[in-house]
Amino acid sequence: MIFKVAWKNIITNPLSSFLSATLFAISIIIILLLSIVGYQLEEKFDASRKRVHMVVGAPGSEMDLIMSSIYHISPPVQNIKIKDAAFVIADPSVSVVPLAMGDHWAEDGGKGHGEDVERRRIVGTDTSYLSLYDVDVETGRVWNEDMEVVVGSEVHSLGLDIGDKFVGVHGFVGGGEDAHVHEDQLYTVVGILEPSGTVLDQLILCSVESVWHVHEGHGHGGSDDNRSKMAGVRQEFQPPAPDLIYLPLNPQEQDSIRSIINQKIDNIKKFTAVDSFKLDNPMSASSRIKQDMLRIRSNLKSIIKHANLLAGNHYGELLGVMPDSSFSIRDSFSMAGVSIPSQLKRDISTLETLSNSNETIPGLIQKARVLEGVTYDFVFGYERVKTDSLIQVRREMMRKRGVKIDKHYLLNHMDKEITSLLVTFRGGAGGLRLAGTIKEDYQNRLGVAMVEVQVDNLYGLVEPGIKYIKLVAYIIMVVSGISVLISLVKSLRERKYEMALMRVMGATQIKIFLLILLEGMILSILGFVLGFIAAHLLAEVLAGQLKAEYHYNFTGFIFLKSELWVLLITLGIGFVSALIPALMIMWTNISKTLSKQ
Amino acid sequence: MAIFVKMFEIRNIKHSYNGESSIEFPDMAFGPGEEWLILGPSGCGKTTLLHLMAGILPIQQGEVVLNAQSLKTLSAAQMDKFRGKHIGMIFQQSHFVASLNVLDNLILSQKLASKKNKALAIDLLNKLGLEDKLKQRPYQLSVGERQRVAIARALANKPQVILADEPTSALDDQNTDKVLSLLRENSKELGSTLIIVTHDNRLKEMVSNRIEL
Repeated sequence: MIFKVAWKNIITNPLSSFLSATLFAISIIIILLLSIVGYQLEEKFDASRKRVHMVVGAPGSEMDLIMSSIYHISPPVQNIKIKDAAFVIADPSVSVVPLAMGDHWAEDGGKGHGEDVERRRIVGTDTSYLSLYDVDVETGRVWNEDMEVVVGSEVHSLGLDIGDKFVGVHGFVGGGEDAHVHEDQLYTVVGILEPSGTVLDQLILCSVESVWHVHEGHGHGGSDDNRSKMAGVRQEFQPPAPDLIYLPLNPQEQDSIRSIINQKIDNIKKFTAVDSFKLDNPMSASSRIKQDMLRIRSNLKSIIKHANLLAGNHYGELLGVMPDSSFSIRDSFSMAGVSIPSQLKRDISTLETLSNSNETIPGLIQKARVLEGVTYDFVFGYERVKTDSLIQVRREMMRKRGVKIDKHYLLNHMDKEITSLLVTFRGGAGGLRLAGTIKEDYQNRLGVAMVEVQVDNLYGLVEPGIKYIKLVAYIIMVVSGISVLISLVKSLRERKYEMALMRVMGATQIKIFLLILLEGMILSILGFVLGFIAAHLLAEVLAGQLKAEYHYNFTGFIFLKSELWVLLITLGIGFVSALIPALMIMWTNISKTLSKQ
Repeated sequence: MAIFVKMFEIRNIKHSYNGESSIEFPDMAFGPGEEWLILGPSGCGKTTLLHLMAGILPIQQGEVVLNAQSLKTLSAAQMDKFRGKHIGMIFQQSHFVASLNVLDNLILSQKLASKKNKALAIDLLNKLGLEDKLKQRPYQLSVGERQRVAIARALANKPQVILADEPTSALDDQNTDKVLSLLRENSKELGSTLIIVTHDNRLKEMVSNRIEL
């Protein structure tokens, strides 16, 4: 009965009830909508980054690398040469998934201009991409030949089925008459992936070779000019020609390296000025000495590099710093089976002595920097450690596994290009060292983005905004509570006599109290129900737009635990706002009320 | 402890508001089914008396006893329930729960007294000539009609006592006759004691039992 009276009271004042419930509903729509969309975005984003720790691609914005290569939202800017990234591909402390992009499939075959044409990326990769996400082919099979593709579940539902043939449209957006369509080369669908809720649902996958095949002779995809120009800035740091040699070395390869080393040693011997160079007083060195020193250093660098190659470190160059390395430059040479040239012995021992002395080495390095530019410390304090630690890591891994490491198939295509590598660390600090090397020594050729850092950055950008919007929503909710309070208090002034009357008819104070409380609660529940329905419907509408934008599946029809909390908060606010009027009316003097006719 | 023999008695009742000089009321006793008129000029405390008799005002001095139950000894909640069950009230200006229709107002009254009896409610409204107003909201009715609904509501719980506070003062002569006779007829039918507090001299001639304040 109380409920009926409460309900009747609410619908008797439709305007103020509507206002209160709507205010509640608005705050609830905002909160729930943010939760629903935010939750799913985060879920999908997390599903798609999976076990990828790092993306290696062209230099540029790190966020772009993540967006283009993990989430396939923005188009990639540039490609990279396998040659440049060989040391990453070959590093046993990481596993890599190559991605080669450049073309897309368009619903209309690339003929139309329309923005509403469905387009999906064609990505050249290998099956390690599927394993990364634990996704299998559901129907059909994986690609074997060039130009065979496997499509994601969502792409399949856009109309691509097994046996279908289609052309690749060059680029990532657009189309139209001037679109570059690879008409002579048709892709054939041979398989469909199982739905996974990851970005794979939205992609068309084929072998890296297929992408190369399509782009052969077209000359696009690279911008060698640009890159070599940029590389020129730091020519001293030319990476080794990684195609020179890879594990395992055959005897001829070993010989050729030895001869290179010997040649470099001979070069060093030519610079007699080294004798007069006093490391403890570098400031007094003449420009001649400086010049010689530069040459010696560059030869020394080359010797060390090649010694490393011989020692089993086929990365050639130096990856990251491992300060606790117990290896020395001497060990490098002895590992390489090369005797240290007598010319170098003195320098090396001097350097070693100095480096063990805490007092002098910072000063020395600083002086050396003045003398040589930034590079003197490279000879000892820097490069030695990096190289040696690599050798150590490499050997250790090989020893532990007792296997020789297979050469990655991409390393047979040193001059080809890919777009990026998704790098997963296999444990240890190897991956971080790689990142360090890329940033220090390959900055003109490669870019590297740490996934976790970038995603955290992204959330860091978005989260405060969401927090403030939610705060505003809760403020609206409080305002709706106040509106309930006001409309109850206002109606009570009119209904005071009514309440007294109910008391006369036998209603206890508690009943009157509950009646008013119930009215407030019903309004807040009404608001919640309205807001709940509206939020989920809106989310479903938004889902369509989000899908078009992110190529992800969203739905308005998921229900989160946090919604229960919002309900509780709503009820709480409804309760508190009804409490004051309920108490007010409960303590009204009915005799006085009834006497005031 | 005095012995109360009549169904409804008041004795030695005095009441003062905020410590001002108190009003003293004569002792009264009412039997079942009787009709009484309590007459007095405006401002002599008629409404106060009525509120004391209905337990709406706490009794400061004296006794009000209904069915051997002293109202003084009841807690507020007990009093509300007791009143709902045994006392029906009619006011000078009838008020209702505005959001409920006529019939629901009666049923609400019954339910609050735990005496739901829809058939009786409809029957009463029919008898009072309101058969076509059952589903109307109170504000849609005329003053006379409203007063009739108020009577129906007061009777709907079959109370032992009906206390009417100036039930006719807002009505014209014709309506006064009608309302009063309806009130008397129906309370007689239910066996309720009818006590009318009024300054309306038009009623004087109609009721034989009178107390002048």
